Order: sequence, then structure tokens, then C-alpha cells
Amino acid sequence: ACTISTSEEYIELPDRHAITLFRIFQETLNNILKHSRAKNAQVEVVKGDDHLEMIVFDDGVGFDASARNKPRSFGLRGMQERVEHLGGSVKISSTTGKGTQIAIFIPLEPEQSAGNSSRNNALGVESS
Amino acid sequence: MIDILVVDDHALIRKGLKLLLDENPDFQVKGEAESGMQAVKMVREHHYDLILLDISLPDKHGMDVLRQLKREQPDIKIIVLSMYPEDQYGVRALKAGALGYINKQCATEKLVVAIRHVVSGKKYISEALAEQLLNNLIGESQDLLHQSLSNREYQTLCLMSSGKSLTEISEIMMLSPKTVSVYRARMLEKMSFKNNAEAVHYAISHSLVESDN
Repeated sequence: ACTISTSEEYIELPDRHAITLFRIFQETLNNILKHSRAKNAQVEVVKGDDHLEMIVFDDGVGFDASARNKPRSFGLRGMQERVEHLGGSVKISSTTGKGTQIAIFIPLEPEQSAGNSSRNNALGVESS
Repeated sequence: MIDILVVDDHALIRKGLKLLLDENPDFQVKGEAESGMQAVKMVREHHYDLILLDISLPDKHGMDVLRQLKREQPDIKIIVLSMYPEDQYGVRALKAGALGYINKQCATEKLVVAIRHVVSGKKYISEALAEQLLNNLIGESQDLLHQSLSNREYQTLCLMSSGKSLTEISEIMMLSPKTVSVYRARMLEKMSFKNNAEAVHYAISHSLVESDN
């Protein structure tokens, strides 16, 4: 079974962040399916004022550091690179036989009031 | 005719129950099982109107047998019959799907009443169990406070109350400290606490924190 919980009903994100998270989400679920032999997986999305963290964990077989650093394993490394690109970090904790937890931390712009952002748009400010 | 399966590892109890129950013309002890596995197997193969289930069985815990039977046949009627007093397993047995819980010290007549009650589709609750349920109900308003927390919010509360700092908690949970603060904020809000101190006080007074010493 896979359950999902979020801290807010609807979380709005910049496209770049949303796409990154989606790709990583796919990757983690893929990994769980392919390798973990887990019975249950849980995904949690927690949004704070200026950050978002997605936590994916399962009760599968887990893995150790050597498996993670295999030269031909690109998934986790790709994940790491995508997240670092957004200034975030990936924490992987796994114990053989005890499941895996992957926490993706991504910093966000502090929440602005609606007035602020619309003024930005009106002025045509572009973020590069 | 009410077909009954008696599950108990003691032959004497099984025979005794059979004797007692067969005195009632419409009761028939159709099967006896001396272990959990045997009970599960017999229920798969035959139909019983009622199962009298002991808690202490040689192979599996009676509560596990109860859950397994309920999973396989959700509408199966089970009365747990145990030497344990009601306050130990009573509520848990009912929550796991038993329709009645009877202490082995009870009078025979009560057992017969309970069986008729349960077979007719009702639940049977002894006086002792009723009292305990009532106590649970009255105490509930307090318990519910922390039962509404998610696992991680609860874990945050416990770790916080055992003196861990935000950073330490985030290291234990392998998450960012910011996420832990979100958990903490939600926990405070759900439990309508104004500050950490109130939360810590609650956790300690409800023994949610295990002391290290």
C-alpha cells in the first residue's frame, strides 16, 4: 500500500520546483518497486514558510552505502543533482532490512503577500 | 441449532465447555481446536455460528487468531473467553472484532446468555467490561488530544519533551530542522498549546516520555 499525506491541501510551487519534485517522486517510487521489496510506502510533503520537504519511506529491504555508490547507479545521483540545482539537499537513510527513508529538502522563496507578487508581474520583473 | 467451535489448549476446558453447552438443546459443540492454526484451518473448512476463543494458545496469541479469523471472514461471530480479567484484553478484543469478552471466572449462565446474545447479532458486554468502557469514554477527552497527532508530530512531541533540541530531533528523524518546526507548530496547534512548555508538561504528565535513567 502507498499512502500520501501533505501538510496543506494544495501546494503551489514554481514550475521548476514542481517538475523536479515530480521527477524525484517518480524515481523514488520506481526504486521502491524495483529494489525494495517493500509492502508499504509512504509519501509525505511538508511545506513550511520558506521550504518544502518531501519524505518518501518504505518498509523494504533497504540498502547500504556501497550499493548507493555503484558506478552504474545513476538514479540517486541524478536525484541529488536535480535537488542541488534548486539549492536543496537529499538525505538518504537506509538500514539493510529496515527500510529506506529519503528526504528531499528544497528551499523556497519566503511567502509573499498577493499584492507583492502581482506588483512584480505588473512591472515585468523577470527572475532569471 | 447453533454450531459452536471451542478453541482452547486445555482438553479439560474444552470437554467441560462441551458438556455445559450441550445441556442446551439448541447448542451443539461441533468442533474443538487446541491451537490457533487448527482453529483457522477448521473455520476455513466448516461453518460455525459461533467461536469461543481462548487468549493464551500454544502457537499464536489469541488476539492474532481473532484478527486473522475476522480478516478471512469479516462477519464471523467470536466470543473471547479468557482467564485474563476484562481490563487487560476486553476492550482490545472488542476493537479487534470480537462480539463479546468473557472472563473464565464468570458463571455458566452468563456464558449461555452471551452466546445467545451474540448469535442473535448483538454484542455482549459483561458488567466489568461495561465499567471499563465507560471509564475509557470519560477519560477519552484527554487521551484524544495526542491521539489526533500524526506519527511524526507525536514523535516530535516525545523527543522534544525528552529534552532534545530541534537540531537533535531533526538528526534523529533524518529530516531538516525546518520540517521538524512545521511538525512542532502543527502539534502545538492541534493540541491548542501556546508554547513548548505546555507541550512538554502534557507529555510528562501523560507519561509519553520514557526517562533515560
